[in-house]
Amino acid sequence: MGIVQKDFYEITGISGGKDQTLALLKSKDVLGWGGAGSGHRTPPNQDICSNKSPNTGAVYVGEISHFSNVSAGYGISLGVTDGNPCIWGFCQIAIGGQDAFTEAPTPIKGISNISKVAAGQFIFAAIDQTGRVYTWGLNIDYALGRVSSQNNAPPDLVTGLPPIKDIVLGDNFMLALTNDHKVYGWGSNSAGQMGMGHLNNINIPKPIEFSAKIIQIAVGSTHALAVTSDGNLYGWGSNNFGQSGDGAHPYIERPKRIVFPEKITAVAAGMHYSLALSSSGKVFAWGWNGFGQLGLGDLKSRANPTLISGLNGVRAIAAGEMHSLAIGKRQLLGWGSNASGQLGSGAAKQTTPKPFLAIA
Amino acid sequence: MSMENGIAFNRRQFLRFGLTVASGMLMPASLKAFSREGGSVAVHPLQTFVQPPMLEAKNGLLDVTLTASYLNTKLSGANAKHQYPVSLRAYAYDAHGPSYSGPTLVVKGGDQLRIKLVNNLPVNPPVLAFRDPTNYMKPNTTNLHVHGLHVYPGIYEDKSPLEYGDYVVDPNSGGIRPGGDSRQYVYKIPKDHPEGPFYYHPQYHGSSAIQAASLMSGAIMVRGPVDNLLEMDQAKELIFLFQAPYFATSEIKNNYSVSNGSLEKFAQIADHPTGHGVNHFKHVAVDAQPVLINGVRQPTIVMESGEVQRWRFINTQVFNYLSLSLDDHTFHQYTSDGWGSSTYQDYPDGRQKNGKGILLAPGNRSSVLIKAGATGTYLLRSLPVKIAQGRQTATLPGDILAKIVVVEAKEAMELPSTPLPVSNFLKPVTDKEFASAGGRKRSIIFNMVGNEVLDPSHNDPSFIDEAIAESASIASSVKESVKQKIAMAKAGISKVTGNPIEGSQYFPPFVFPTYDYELQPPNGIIQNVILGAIEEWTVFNCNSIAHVFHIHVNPMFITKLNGIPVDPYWCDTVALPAGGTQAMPTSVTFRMRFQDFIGPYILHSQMLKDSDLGLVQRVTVLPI
Repeated sequence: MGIVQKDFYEITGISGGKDQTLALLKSKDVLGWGGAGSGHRTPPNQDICSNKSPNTGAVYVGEISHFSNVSAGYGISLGVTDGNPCIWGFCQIAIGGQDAFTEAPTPIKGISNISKVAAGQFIFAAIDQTGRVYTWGLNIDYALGRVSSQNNAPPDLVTGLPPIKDIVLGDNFMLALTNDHKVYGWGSNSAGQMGMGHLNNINIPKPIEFSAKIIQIAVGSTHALAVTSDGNLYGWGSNNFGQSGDGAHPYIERPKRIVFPEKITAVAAGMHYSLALSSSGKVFAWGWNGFGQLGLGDLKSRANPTLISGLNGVRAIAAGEMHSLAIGKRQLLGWGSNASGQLGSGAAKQTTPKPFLAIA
Repeated sequence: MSMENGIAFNRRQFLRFGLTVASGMLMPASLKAFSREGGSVAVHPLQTFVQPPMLEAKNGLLDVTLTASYLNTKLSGANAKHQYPVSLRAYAYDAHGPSYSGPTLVVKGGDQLRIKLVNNLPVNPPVLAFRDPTNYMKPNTTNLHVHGLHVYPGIYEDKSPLEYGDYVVDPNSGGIRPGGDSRQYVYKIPKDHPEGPFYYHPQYHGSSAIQAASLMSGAIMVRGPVDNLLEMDQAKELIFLFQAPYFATSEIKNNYSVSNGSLEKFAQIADHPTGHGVNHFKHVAVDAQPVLINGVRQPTIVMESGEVQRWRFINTQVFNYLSLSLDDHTFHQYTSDGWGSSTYQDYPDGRQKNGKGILLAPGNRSSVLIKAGATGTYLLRSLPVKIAQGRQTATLPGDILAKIVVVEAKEAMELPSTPLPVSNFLKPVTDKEFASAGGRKRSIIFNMVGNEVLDPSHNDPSFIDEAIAESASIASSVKESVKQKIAMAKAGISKVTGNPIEGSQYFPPFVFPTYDYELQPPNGIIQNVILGAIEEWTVFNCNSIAHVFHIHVNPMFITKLNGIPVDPYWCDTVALPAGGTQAMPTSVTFRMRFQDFIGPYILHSQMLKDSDLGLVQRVTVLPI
């Protein structure tokens, strides 16, 4: 989730999930576009097997406002209202022993004083105001970073971590950024995304070695990106489409620097593709491009970071599974998959940035 | 139906019964014994085992027309002697009339299989109950799925009229409509397609159970190098299409106003999914639908002592498992579903110590070699199968499926020696190959839940517990009073909301028992996979029942059971361990190569009534 630090925008945060887009407004309301987890109610399932028409337009998520943070996951979204986490979307399993939830936000009991949430594919995390990390969901491949008596575990603390300020979730793994600019990882290491030089799963949080301070992290399905305080970018994990920045190897087991013509301030990643925001407000894209999510006007994958021409003044970026988002000048823009209406109206494949909401 | 004078349990009683069967010749008139070459051969007079006609590709092509229509005939119940007049949906082929199954279609890698499917079923019945959530089900609209085949699942748009691959993602307004609509299916079998047993059945969303639980299925055999081995070629091949048609009878308490011999209401399956008729131990097992083999109840097979035969098992049932075992004999399995192995997995007589049955979930197949022992009579059985545990326990009763009479030998035969040839298509998926192809992992949840907007005061689990305690029966275990209460609550809510399926709020599942219908919550998730990817999926089962997971197009390389590594093997249909809960779901993990074919297709429960209710998800393989 790309958070805009200043508060003079009407939009204060954006998040892309599997098929949904969430925008957090200054009014503390959340707008949703697209499929499950967007706040749109889904019609009955008689055509479950066939093509369905996308949801068009935005809806407000729930009736309550006071959202301070949101995260769009795999058909499921999390939010924070007054320090309490809530969940909505399509989730076939109970969370923490609670069974009922819908496209209307339902509080998650048992944890409070939450500042940040992260939703993945039936795995979830929350950071509280003191930097402690809670995880819950399906504990396979050690995805929760802790031992749980249930394999669909209720929220509980992850031990052995210094204070955390951000956490990002991929396929059965998590990476956490500490207050003092270090990165910890745990869970599935199927493509080397733990960055530790092997393919073995990591059962408890372990630090990933960097020589520089890390200020931001992002993960796609199975690859990871990290921005250093001096504006450099590192990539590792799956690289079958060059999403980790090096076309030579199909996967990369240790962080490797990706060279850019200018300094990078933020990164975002989806399924096998990556986005980077430069200090001058430009966006680079690389990796898989099946829905045009690189924004380069075609559907050709790129093994090297490529500048999205004509896109300037970007303040924040985010990536869903197959769609990209940017807060630009007076516009919320998106490109890539619009199959579920996650970019508002228009064709299912958007190959160039398309404004879909005017903003202050 | 009464079992008292039905199946006997000791050998002596069975022999007496078996002789009655033989003299009664309860053989479907339209089926004859066929050899592999398709011509009639001399059959021992005791043999009542018959096979559907076999149609084999010539010069790379097999072109057949299947016609769906009603077959009016007689079928045996649990007691083979007791036959019931039935009127069920069935397939005819080419100029022939409808029969107990479709023909067996024989192809090899590189062949083209063309099936024109004509739907001559009558128009769909009118919707009578306005608020019935299953109104979308259209029992006479159909399509075709080639279960397990690795073939293109899309539409050949460049053909006019359109030609279809293994395309099943039909909308509710589409499909092959009754009253003469037709569709041309074309399956191009890849050159390296592994050899083994497959089958075809309808997979039109909402009507797959009612059609497959009629007589709409047939075998597909893909031939390959293993079939050319001398010993394999010499072994007589018997194809066992296990079918268990459901139909109303006077012995069934509630036939939902359907006339005897017919299957017209989804509830006939959904409300009593294991069926009726077979239950030898009322207190420990549920009722099960009697299984027929190629239309015959408990046929007799004659073998010579020392003779090797190869048997192909295809469980086309829509809900029930089989656990196959042959008295005093060992099955040497060489395909799991249609996917071969280089060595045999041995299954000695499951009644004896260290013996085990071949477990076939609905949709599973198996190929075995069997070497006849000493002269005598032996029974092919299905052993009891525990299909649910935990919140609810259910055990399918054992049953006798066939009788094997072994007569004096003429010559002894041998099994082909190992290693058997296996297609390179089935090479194991290594960690490095997986890492190099994206390393994606997915979690798929199988969780049948109720989504009725019920008053929670009518959703008291103690009612359910009480009901379960009083009956081991799998689906009739809700007491009538509970049913009535729930129905009243439903009716009350319906009045208020005007639409019982609209609500997306749902309550903890009762797992089993079900009341009438539990339509699943709207499921908007599509699994998007990139062509060429190798992925690892874990399928979680949150219910007591051992759900059955099936995915179209690509086989699964099973690696873990409940998170614990197993000797990996290939299959396309897999039983999920029973006894899952939402807190502790059971699981199966597999790897899959998404190669060769793009397109939307589906994963779903092969317990087809669950699939029809929404336990189905779309998979889209996207071009690079």
